[in-house]
Amino acid sequence: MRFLDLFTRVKSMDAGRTKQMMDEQPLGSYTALDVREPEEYEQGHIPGALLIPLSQLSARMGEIDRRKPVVAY
Amino acid sequence: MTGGFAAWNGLSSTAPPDQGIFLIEGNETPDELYALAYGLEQGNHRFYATLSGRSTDQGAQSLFRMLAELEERHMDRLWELYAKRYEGRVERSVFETTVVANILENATPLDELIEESSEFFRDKVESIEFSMALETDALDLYLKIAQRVPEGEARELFLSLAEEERRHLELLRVLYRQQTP
Repeated sequence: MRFLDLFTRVKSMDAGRTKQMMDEQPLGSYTALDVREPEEYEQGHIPGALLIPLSQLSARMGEIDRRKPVVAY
Repeated sequence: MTGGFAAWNGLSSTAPPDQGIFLIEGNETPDELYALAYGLEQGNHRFYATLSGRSTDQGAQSLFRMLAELEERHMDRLWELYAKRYEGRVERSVFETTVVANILENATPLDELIEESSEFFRDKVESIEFSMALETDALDLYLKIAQRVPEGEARELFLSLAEEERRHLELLRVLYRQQTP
């Protein structure tokens, strides 16, 4: 955890911990959110990841299910 | 996730964001969703069965035969769930006339992928690599469909199919490790 994480509800997880969490949780119980551009998404993404480029994120927040944890990358 | 996708070493799909989305408008009836799910499983079953018949490598043949059988079991399970909704008062042959035919679980047309893939299954290792890519895209598609259908029976159906794909991938990963020590 980084120092600034103490002041926010957003937690940082490394890729290994993220993978472990995803392997342990039922599918559909979390949202993988890909904030890169479509070209990057097509080169590889976490299966099932929702693509919302960072530049569109504030306008498309309604597409994210807020009842579930979100893993953004 | 710190490090972003560059740090990720888990499953990775290269399907475009809108791949297969044409299959779902969001207002489908449960019957239509069962027909879609059954059709996708049937597409993969036919695909693996065709590859098993075409491959000249014994290891590849047995791998594709095993995958075809797994897909057939999914079809049987989907049929059982569908028939249960009608308390058995429906014929499988009638149901099968409603399915979305000749589409694979990664949303590509069956004939197209059979043609394109003919060069990828020369031996068991290449066959496993190819199958893993296909199953990862299937997992991606089922999860995307699950996000677009209403909560409840329909979502649970596609999430359970996604879980099955995840199990296939684990099985393929074990086989791959055995082949490439």
